[in-house]
Amino acid sequence: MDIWGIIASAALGSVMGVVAGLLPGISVGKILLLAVLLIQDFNPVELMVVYVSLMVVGQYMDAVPAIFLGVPGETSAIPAATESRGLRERGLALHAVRLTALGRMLGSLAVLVVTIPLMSSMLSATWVFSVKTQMIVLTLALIGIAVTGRNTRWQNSLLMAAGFVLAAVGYNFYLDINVLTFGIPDLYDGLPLICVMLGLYVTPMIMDFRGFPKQDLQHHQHDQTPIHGIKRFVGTITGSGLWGSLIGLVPGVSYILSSNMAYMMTKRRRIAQKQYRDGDLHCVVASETATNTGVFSSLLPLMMFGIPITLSESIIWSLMIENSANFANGQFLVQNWPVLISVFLAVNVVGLLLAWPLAKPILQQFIRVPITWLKALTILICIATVYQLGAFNGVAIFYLVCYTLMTIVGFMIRRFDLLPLIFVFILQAPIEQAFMTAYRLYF
Amino acid sequence: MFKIIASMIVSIMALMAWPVQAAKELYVIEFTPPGGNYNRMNLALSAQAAKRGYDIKEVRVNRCKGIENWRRANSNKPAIHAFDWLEDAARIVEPDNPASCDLELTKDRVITVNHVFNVHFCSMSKDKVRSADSLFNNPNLKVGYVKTNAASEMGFTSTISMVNAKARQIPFKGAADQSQALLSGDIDIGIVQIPINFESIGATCFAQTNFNGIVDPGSIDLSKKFPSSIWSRYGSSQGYVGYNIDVNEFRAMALEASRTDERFLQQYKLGAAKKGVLAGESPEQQWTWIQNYINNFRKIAVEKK
Repeated sequence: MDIWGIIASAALGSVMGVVAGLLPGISVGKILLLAVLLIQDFNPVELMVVYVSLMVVGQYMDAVPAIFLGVPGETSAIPAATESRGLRERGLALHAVRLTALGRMLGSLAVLVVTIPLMSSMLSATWVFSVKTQMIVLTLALIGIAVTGRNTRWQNSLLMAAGFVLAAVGYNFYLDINVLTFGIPDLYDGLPLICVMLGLYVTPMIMDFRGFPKQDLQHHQHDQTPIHGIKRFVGTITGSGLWGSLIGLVPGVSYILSSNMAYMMTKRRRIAQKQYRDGDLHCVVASETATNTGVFSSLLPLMMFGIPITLSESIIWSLMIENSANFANGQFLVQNWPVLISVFLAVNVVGLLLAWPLAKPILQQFIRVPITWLKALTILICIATVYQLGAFNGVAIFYLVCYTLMTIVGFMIRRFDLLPLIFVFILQAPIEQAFMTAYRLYF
Repeated sequence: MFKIIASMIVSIMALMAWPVQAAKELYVIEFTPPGGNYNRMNLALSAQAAKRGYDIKEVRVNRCKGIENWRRANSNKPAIHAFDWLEDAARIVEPDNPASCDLELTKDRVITVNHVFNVHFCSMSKDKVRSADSLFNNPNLKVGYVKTNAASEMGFTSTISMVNAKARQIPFKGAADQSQALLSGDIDIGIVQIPINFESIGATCFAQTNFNGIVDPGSIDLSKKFPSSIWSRYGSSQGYVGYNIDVNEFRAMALEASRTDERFLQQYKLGAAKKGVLAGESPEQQWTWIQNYINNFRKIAVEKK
């Protein structure tokens, strides 16, 4: 095995991860598509190393725009963006970025310790892909959403129904009908997630953005490192890490579900204990730790069985297949696990080392910008992201119109916690797929 | 003075004329995400065109319908794109479907038919004989397929019904979803055009349609088992389409790309069989073949109504 090839692949993946994490709208899938020509001749192990590095480093960096600006680069960072306003107002933004980086590292170590001894028996655990398993997990997720948050259960249920209806817009694959498309061809592919997420949820939050109190940096100067306070979070990190790694196996939603479920469960616990307040560090640490362990779990089906369970995995999987990867009987993982585990650990260290020092200068730059300018700049980033993704799909104007309409609606209903709506919007496709497939299989 | 003015006029005219001479522009239409078969085919032909001095301009549109819309707005522009004739057949099967596209294809717009993929039946079972027996006779058989458009659904479901009329037919959005169902045992058999997708997870592909007279050794040839059914010779086929271009020039480029370009050669590693221009067929023969291919769908669509 070419060790330099592995190192170069890890370095390339890490650089791609920094870009994907720091720039909202440049998702892991998008950056992979842009890099296809560059990596298409890599061997299967190098391709996997690129992907692991990209995913891990990307998740470390993703917390930076989510917490500082409230703009999630990926849907898994929505919980961090939700708590970001409280964190900024309490002067804990920098602390939170560093604490979540540490939490991710510890969570990853914990999940490795648990997973490595179980790896051989996991090769026979193909039931995780079964439609029955998916239905159970998704139903539990829906119940979890309904009973969490600051809305009443009725409000949550209505918002969830609204999320389902919004996500159902477009051509229905199973029923062969168009749902709420009103004859508009661009709606055939449905409402774009980026427009719903940024318009309905993020932009109204940005309008309420009150900037960074000066004590954020000062706070951190006094409290030089979150390491000495990490003991308070050990339970949260361990629990959300293990929970996140289990949920990460769910096809289609994987670590997005891990992150959001860990957030909701922790929030529920904190509210029950009367300890929750806006900008809750435990909630952010839980969601970010669960994201990282969920990412690790999402990689297992790909490495063990050659089964991609997320869109970005599908891209790397097709490249690996074309370059003669053989996943039969777990061959790929059996032959390469020392390299892949080493890379996973190494890029976690890289992510921690990048997120920790980079967070402070980035925050210093943000603090210098007047609040009005910062709001305008952030909204401009959202608009540019929407335009750019729309242009990538050849429908830029449609994306901008959707984003504008969603922003107006989002602003009108901003007094509600819209997380249940966004979450069900994301879950609608896997829910529909699981239930419709089950119907065809068993009825 | 006159010389200076004359030389200035000549220079300005030359400058104005230069972009016209160099602007042998060619629009390459991408209607699927980058990284897939169509993208690689487009890149292979674009590379040949660039060598011949074409200024390549990539146009990104959404689905086949996007090509139709772009063409309507840019009817005079020279453009090419990779294509699957299944997309054209979808219009015949479901003309009212908003995704169906009408590219107004004529013989002069078909650059080449390049290669075809058979339909493979694959199972996680190691016992090929048992799988084959199960395929034809098991009344509780669950067979998965990937539905990309109305034509692909008609092709796949008709092929499944041909081999086992009682089988449950389970549609999936993509190869990855279908692989999960096959691995977990939710479905007994999956059908696929690129067998390596299933073989890489340990499945055995044991039967296939015969689209181009070539069947893998050891695989059941369904055209022999069901000689009277058109679906036993069903598959998908990819090639190139062009507008406002010299078709002969681009046909030569496509042939060169198919012989030399690594991106193109990848198709054969994935199980594609040479067809059309690569099999030495004339443009007329290719056009007749396309017409027959689409007519099969037309006949079945009429019968189903």
